[in-house]
Amino acid sequence: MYKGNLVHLRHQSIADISKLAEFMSTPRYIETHSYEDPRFTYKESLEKKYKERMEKHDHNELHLIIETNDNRVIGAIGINGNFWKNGLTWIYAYIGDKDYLEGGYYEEAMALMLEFLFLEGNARKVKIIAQSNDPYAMAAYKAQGFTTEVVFKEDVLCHGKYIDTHDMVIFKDDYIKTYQNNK
Amino acid sequence: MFWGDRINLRQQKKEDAELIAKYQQDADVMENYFMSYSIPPIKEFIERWYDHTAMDKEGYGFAIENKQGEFIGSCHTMGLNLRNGTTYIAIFIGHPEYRSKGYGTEAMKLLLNFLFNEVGLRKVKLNVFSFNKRAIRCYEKSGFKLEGINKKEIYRYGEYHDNYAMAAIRDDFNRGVAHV
Repeated sequence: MYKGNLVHLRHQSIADISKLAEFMSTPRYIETHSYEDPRFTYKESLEKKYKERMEKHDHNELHLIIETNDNRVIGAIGINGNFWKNGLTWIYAYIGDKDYLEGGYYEEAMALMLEFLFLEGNARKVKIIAQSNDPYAMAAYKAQGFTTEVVFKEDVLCHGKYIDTHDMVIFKDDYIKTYQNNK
Repeated sequence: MFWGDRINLRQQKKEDAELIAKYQQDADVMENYFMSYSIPPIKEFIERWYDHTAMDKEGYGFAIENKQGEFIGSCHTMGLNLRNGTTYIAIFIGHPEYRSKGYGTEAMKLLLNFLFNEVGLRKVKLNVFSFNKRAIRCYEKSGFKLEGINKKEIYRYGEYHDNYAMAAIRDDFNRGVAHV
């Protein structure tokens, strides 16, 4: 288990699905995930996906829960895809409980994830997409060393307007330098 | 069917898989088209992709033909997103005699015209490797502009290369291209 001062990361279980469906149906989640259709997420559909994943046992994906150290589920983080030839890892992260958007929970969850990816997973370049209307996510990623590589202009629809998305990345070499300096 | 001066785009069919697989074994296509391994897909993979696309209506695949009906290449969408009006696309000219002669540009303009003015998309995106200068010129001539560079994204020949993220916008395309 990856454990910090505020949160720890653990594998998703079927018992978490109901909470995740609740998070994914909040206005904040919907307006910051405009690549997906704007619709509510049902527990049953997430459970189906969960079971399919368990059957498939795909090592290119990893889905973790962000839990506070007093065992409150506040969000999710994980690997969407891994392309070992080019050394690319696509990840996602969200804090679903809005009471935990501030206070360092998001940042610490991302720090734990990067520690796992670079020091255990041997990732070379980690990528994440952030929408420009999600300052909490962008701040959390920047705080951990992510930089914007590409700004996709007017890329997704949100509240009737097209907004930018940021392709944010962090390289292992840069991460290790910062990690060693902070030790 | 969409007609150009020298080529047509027609619906890609399952029977095209064999020729696509053959073209994708060409060194030029392998070097510049695949983000993955330099091992071309077999016919069965292409047929599976076709089934998936055709059944789920998740995108569009076109065969590029010359005026004699000879299959010279292929283009298709990936990640079509009707909500946001965007898609990624990919294109290749597999027949070696039709490269560097403007056929790819003509096919691209037909494809963009279809996606912008028939499907109703507003932004079409693609990725191209930094060493593929011929394709970059073709995309620029078709109205694509650079949105950004993904550094050290592609591993090939023992080193990492950049990947260019390019996009074409409907309004720009329609201002610049009255007829294709």
